[in-house]
Amino acid sequence: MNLFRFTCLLLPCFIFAETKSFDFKDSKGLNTVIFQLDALLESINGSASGVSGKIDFDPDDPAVTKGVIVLESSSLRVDNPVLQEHMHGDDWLDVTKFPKIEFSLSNLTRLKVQGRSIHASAEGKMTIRNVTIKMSIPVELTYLEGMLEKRNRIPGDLLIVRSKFSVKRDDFGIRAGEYLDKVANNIEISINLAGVFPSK
Amino acid sequence: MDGARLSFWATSKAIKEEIPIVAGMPELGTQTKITWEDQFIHGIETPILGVLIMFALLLVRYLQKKKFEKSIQIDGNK
Repeated sequence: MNLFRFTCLLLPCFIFAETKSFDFKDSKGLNTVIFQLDALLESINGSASGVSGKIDFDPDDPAVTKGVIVLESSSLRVDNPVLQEHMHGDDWLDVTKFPKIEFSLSNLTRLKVQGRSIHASAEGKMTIRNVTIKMSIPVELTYLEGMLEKRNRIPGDLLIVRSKFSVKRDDFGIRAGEYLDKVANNIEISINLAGVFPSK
Repeated sequence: MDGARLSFWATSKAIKEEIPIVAGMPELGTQTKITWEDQFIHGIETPILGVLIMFALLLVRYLQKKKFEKSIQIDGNK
């Protein structure tokens, strides 16, 4: 009888808890990752547009947010063609051997709601060049219910993910300990991604 | 980019544009649209190359002058 009562109490939670799977392959081509690192003569600024991945988000329980954001390493671009060739080459990112940069999000911690946005720490694993490291990244999530219709003319919701963080190339074995006087170890990354959840 | 810039030659330029996430509602936030435009932008190689060419021309002129003086001297001796 107790089990029956317990099930009855929990049942509404399962019925109403709705985890939405947001797709980050943006048809508008606006999902971009911006990176910057210091170099001997100038700072290297670039962007990458090959963003994809899915994030499962429950507006009623954002702490359990999880998913994967994937970046095609060959989509990284800088203004100098020689620099870009080196960056994509075997010694640095080796984009043919390691075509993807991945962040696997396991959950959110230290959640703080500010207006429409949720500020949190995204706990997960970053994989670059087949080297996986546990990372905690500060993120800002904005859930825009029903706004997909105004953006893409499809009924549904939007999830905006913003973050600024840095990675060390040493940690991922990208010419670790080498050329530190010419190319900085710290790579500043800025993301501003929109995920879509079309309602069926 | 206008004026002098301390950097290497570049063949493209990133043009950044802030686009509202939801059209007509910029208060909901914006996304940066980056368009790479092909454009040659001079870097420090340009003045370095200029100085090298200047020295090369001066050297050629100096050698020509030397050769000319030598030929006058030979003609004078004859």
